[in-house]
Amino acid sequence: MSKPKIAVLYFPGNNCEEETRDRCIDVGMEAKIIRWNSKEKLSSYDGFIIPGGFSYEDRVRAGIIAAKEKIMDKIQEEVKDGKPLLGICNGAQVLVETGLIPGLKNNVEMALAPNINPLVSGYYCAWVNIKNINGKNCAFNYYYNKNEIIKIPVAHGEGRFTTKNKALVKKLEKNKQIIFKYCDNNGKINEKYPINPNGAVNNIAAISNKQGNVMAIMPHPERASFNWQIPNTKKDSEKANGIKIFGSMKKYIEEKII
Amino acid sequence: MTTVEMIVSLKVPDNVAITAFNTLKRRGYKFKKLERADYYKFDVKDKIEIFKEKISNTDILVNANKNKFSFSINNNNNKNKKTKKTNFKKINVLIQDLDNGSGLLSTLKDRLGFTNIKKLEKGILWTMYFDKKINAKKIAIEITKNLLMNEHYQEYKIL
Repeated sequence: MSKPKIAVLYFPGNNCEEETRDRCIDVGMEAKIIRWNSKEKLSSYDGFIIPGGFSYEDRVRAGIIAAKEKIMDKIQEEVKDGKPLLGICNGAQVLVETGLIPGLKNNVEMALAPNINPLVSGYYCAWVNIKNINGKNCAFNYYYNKNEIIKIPVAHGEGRFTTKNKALVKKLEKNKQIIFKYCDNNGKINEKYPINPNGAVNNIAAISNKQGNVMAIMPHPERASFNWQIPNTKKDSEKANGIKIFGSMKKYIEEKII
Repeated sequence: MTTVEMIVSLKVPDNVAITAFNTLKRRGYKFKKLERADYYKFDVKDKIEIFKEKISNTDILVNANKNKFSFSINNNNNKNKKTKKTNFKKINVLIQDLDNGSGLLSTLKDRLGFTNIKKLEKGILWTMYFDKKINAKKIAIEITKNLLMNEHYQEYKIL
């Protein structure tokens, strides 16, 4: 079987494209960084990742300008039939602004709004815990047990999942589209800071579309993939929990796409 | 109680407005120009002129090296009406976050001594210039909803 081929989409201002590409390679996929204005055919790729950073300097608001780029129209076409698409941090903001997440209607149903944090306004960096809520139900949690905890960093100013439609959150819970939630070291979900680092509704850290092939995640799994990246851990090259998001993506492609 | 509006914009070209303008053009919107400014609205108790002088000298809102400011939308020529001597129609749209201004208000009151501010609103004021022949207000609202705001945590007003 040929290796799954991933396009890591780069918009001006992104800064996590190389480490994201490397994590794909680490789990045995091929990966290439594709610029937003590339003429390359996206149909030759099996999956896509929009990495973190500050696309277009977060002008107007995070993710919105990239969401309006033509390449996102093409990406929407590509993922319609099940190819996986992962948005990490700024990539998650792009996916929410395109309406791909949560993707129940053909419009923008949510926001990744400025953090609500009692200590810091604006950009906030910290190590947090998230846990897999549903077991294996999307392209990115195949290798996680239900309630498995991941120690992972957040680094954002606009990471608060929110919506004015209160019924939507219930629907996302019912559809099992909320994939990861912020929790404490023991897996207990507490809505207060610092467990919930940004005030996200229902402690949401990651949401998928209903089909489960598109996911927006605010924390950075590419920075929580090896022990040497995790604080207070033996500095060796053993794999850490975050890398299983990429491994799951590979598994999904091998089973459903190739 | 007196209401004071303060409009602060950049002296140099505003990259955010230019990016938004180019994005909207690419998406097929036809209009002439887009400007952006920071908007503050204070409810102030007495000594208005002293307040205006003091507030314009705080580096928090205005940096004299890079910003220009005005104390009313009228003075800033931003009134929502057909402009004289041009073929433009101007629309001002104010975008505000639903939870508005509390951090800045406490900074101004508690750290900088502006105890006479009773209320503060802030937002981004976008000014769009349209051809007179088109339905400017309708397109301005469409642009606002499509690009300039996310209705899940922001709201807009046409000024």
